Amino acid sequence: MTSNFKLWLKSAEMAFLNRLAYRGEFFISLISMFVLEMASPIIILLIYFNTAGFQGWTLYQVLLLQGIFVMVRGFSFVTFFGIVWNSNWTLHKGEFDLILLKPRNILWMFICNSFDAEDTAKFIGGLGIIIFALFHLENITLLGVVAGIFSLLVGIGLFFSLALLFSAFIFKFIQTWRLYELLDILSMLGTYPKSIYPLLTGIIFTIFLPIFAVAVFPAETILGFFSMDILYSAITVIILVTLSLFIWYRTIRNYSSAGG
Amino acid sequence: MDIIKVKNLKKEFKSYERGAGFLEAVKSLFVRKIKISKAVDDISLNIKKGEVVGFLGPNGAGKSTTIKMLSGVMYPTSGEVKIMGYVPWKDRKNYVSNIGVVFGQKSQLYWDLPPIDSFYLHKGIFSLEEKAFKSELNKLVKLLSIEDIMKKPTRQLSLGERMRCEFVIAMLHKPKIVFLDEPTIGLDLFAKEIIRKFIRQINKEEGTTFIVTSHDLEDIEHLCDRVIIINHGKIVFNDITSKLQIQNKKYVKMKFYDKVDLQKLKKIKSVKNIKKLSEYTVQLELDTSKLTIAEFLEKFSKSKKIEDLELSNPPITELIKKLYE
Repeated sequence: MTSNFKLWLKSAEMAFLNRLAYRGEFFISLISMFVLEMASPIIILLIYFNTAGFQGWTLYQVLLLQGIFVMVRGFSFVTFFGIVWNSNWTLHKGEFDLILLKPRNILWMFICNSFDAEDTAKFIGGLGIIIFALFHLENITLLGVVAGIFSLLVGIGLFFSLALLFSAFIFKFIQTWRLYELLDILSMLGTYPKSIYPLLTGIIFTIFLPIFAVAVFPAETILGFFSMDILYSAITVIILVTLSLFIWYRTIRNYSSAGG
Repeated sequence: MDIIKVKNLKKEFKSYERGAGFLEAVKSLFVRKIKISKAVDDISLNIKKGEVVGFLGPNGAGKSTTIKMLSGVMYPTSGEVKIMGYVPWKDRKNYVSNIGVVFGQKSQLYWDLPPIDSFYLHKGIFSLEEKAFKSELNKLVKLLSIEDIMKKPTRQLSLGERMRCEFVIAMLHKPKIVFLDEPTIGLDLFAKEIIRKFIRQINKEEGTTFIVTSHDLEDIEHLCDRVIIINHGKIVFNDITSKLQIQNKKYVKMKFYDKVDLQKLKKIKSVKNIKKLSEYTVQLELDTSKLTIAEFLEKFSKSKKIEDLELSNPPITELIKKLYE
């Protein structure tokens, strides 16, 4: 375990060093990434100020939800979501064999190789919004924060399973970017409070495609609104992660590496 | 002692075929014609510890597929492989700790970082002890003369310099077997010689087994004790390198004091492909299974006085071409 974590840290260092080789491009990408990710909270705030707002949610509660969404996405993209682009890259360059030649778990090697230095801007930005919102919120309890962190793990688990499925699809079908775009748009629906959705949509986004687990449930939990919904989402996410791990390893097993 | 044992190894690939044009493309969305091709067709071989074995074959012959199965990165369709007691694709993690691989056309170095950073990443991946890593690195740096280049970004290095650094990565964990897939492709003579010298030295001093695939026959002649030629997925030659030269054929180049008498040469049955190089010089092929060199000279020098004589073996390429056909 320690050895794997050390390797991840070393890979993260390499990813930073690699991006810093072109400092100008790195900083421009970092700023662009930050601006792009901030667009979503700003749009939500514009909706909030120019409409009747979101039923039952104050401005800082909405900000907290937005911050969590940006941070979870940022964390996922920095640490593991890169396996999607990495799968595409290694397949096209025929370099998958080089990963198999390392005495490590293949998935861990993929994760280590996928550290995305630029996406740290998303993570830090999201964290900044959360801290800012928390300073303006009252009645935040330690129990709420701890339960909120558990909820965050469910959201991260959802992104993890999606990343694995995309990666497997890339191995199987080579190009599946439209599917990624579809799910990216769907995940954006998780930036709105549950109260704006009809009952059926709410059930779908809680149990079958639990995108509320990304930000809505963690925000509710931190704010002290405990419900069983997060547990339903957690069960779905556990099933999804198990299934996607099985599919991923199965796909890798069947993959015939690039010839030559 | 056999370090590599391969028995009845097979690999089949499934591919889809379709005709040309738009209609065929639309049709292929619903119905696809499956084609099964045999990349490796029932090969068996053994390799001893410390051997340097060359894998030769035309493009698409199955040598890279064989190497991929032997290095544990590809599952075979059927057959048995035992290398150092491991089944490569089943015990991949333990097995690859004991092998090194250099791909002439794929790099393990980070393009924008100096090779030294990649060496340290390799140390992390293979969990190498600091002391052992530094000692091995120092040795390899000296052997491959990369002191001045390993701290420059990889993108600024020449192909030869990069390849030397690729060898460091492949050897840092002291592998017992090293697979080299076209290690000298695109290199100049000087760079090739450094690489060949390095392989010979490591093989001699540490008893490392090397498996080399190459289209460069000089690599095979200079490095390999044994050659395995694969064509259409089957082994068509498996013997020591010197056997690759056609034993019952010699090239004879003769210079005479008098003008060449071609008619007389043509009468000798075991002589073929006579080429008149000048009025006084001729080159021919002699079938030594029918007529020995001594017999030929005795027969011919009686009537013609030979000023100079040069004997040579046919180049390896000739036999290879025949085996490829």
